[in-house]
Amino acid sequence: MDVVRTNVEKVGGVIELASRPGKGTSIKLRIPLTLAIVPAMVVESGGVAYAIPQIKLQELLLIDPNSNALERLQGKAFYRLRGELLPLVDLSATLGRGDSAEAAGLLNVAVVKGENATYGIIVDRIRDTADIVVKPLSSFLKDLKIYSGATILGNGQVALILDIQGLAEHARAVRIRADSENADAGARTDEGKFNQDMGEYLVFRIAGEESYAVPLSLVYRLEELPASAIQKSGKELVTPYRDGLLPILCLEHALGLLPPTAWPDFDERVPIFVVEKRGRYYGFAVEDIQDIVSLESDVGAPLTDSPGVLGTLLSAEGEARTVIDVIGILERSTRPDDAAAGAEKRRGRTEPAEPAKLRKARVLFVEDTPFFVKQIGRILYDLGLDVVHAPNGEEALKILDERGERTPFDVVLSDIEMPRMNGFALARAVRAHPTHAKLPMIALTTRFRDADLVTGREAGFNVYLEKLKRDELVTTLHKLLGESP
Amino acid sequence: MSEASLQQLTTFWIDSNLYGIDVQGVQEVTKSLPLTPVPLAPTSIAGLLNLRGQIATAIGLRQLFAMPPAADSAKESLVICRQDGCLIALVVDEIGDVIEVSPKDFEEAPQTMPESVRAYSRGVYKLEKNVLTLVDVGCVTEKFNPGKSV
Repeated sequence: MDVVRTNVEKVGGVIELASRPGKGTSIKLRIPLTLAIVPAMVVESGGVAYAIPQIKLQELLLIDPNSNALERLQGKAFYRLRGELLPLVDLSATLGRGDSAEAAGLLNVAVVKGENATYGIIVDRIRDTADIVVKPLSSFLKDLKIYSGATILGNGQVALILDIQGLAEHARAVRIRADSENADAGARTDEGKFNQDMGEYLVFRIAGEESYAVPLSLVYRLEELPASAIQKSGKELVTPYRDGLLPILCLEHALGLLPPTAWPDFDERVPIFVVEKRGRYYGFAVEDIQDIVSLESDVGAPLTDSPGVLGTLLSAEGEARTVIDVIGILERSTRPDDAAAGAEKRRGRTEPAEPAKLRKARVLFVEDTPFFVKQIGRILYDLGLDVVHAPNGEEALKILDERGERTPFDVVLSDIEMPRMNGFALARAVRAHPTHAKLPMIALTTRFRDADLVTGREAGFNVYLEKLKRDELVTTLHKLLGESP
Repeated sequence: MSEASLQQLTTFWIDSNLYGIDVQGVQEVTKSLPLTPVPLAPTSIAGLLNLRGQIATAIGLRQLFAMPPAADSAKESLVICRQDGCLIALVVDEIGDVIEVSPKDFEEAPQTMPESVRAYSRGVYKLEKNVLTLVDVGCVTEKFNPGKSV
């Protein structure tokens, strides 16, 4: 104990012992911060070593740059890690030290967890773990929030310790700066913020054309199957999937690009995107899954009146993308499939009834994104509802005030993220309103997180639904409107 | 420094000009050591170095004085100073002698001196053969102090 004490005191530390007979001893050890030893992972970028505190490190990944799971949104790399999108930060590019490491073969990625976000840092090399002594940076480097200190490695080299939070903030700042170089940055970022719930599309190739897209929110999973796993079963293609069979649909048929009797030539490996509908999975075979893009422009009307097409969308590069109406295609192609549905029912699966026409109820539909106005609007019209549309919360309140008195609304269906007045604010305003306080309100969002759910409930929404889950919406409307007198 | 007595200066060369700093503020002079670059720091921060287990911040005086990088770095040396508890290593072209100067030879920095050098200088000493520019380490560190973004 004496040796310990001498050594602790030598470095300016204090050791305190407090013993209570029969209870035990508590030992307090205080060591100056400059001597704090932390385990760290030493990584290399641009020939320079950096230390990442182990406590911030989640895992290390080795990513094939050609992998489908590596995706790009607005020029930023993302990796699909177990279903979650992991933003990637290229260390050498972020630090402004030359080209990104991406070109050079496999990517070394350190997955780190900051206070607000988990992200991956692309580094050139992962060296080793080391216990490092944290030394503070000189006062005039304290402005650099991306470093939390420095340390001396075993070989005598000085290494900077990365500040995970600071690096994330810096990487974000870099992106914002890059954006503002665009001519109409102000308007675009503003719009993008409000439309962010629509933005992502999976771009794929069929029939040799690279111009097709589906809203990413509809895609349940991306799979790649060997062609041999796809079997013909009557008029259908199926493949063993999880515990059952996955029907494989060809968009070429739905779009009339191929006669229904012909099958496209599959390559050795067939990329498939899986869509979930009423608890069942459907696979769509494509030639190649290209990218996930975030598009801020709206879905315009279809150029042709072909079935299965939602509309056309212009990418940031000015390329036209045909947005496929997968839900519509599924509706049409699965309707004769009553036997299968019956079989599921017999197994006790709940199957929502086909949308019976509802009584002529009045719906105030609040949504800013044209894509969803069209998508959800169509569902509402199909149900025979009387729909009034408002582009934001402010307009919705105005409509409620002006027209709600004479012809009362039966339900409010509202998006959450909207300009001017968002869904939460609208719900609070309606609940505080003298006449409309009791109006049933449904929140529709792509942001489906528990925290939002709580906020939504507190704001006054009766139901919180995920967008584009048509069946849930229909069931909820039936329930809400069926019970009301 | 306004004492009538002689003042000792550590001198060094940058680009055939002689500079000096008060010897009192100098801890040691060493040959050039490996530097770890600090990305995103101001360009005049040459890097960090390991000085017998202590980390010092190296400041490139050429970069600070807005001069082009040295053509020949063979004689590059570090002048280690301790300022406000920080170890600072000034990167210079070549180290000179320790000389004694007298206050009577001191003059304010001439107006024609480039502003990039004048900001860190308190004045000049007229020596027999040439003129020595007195560098104030305090002014150098002040430049990087938080609040005054560079």
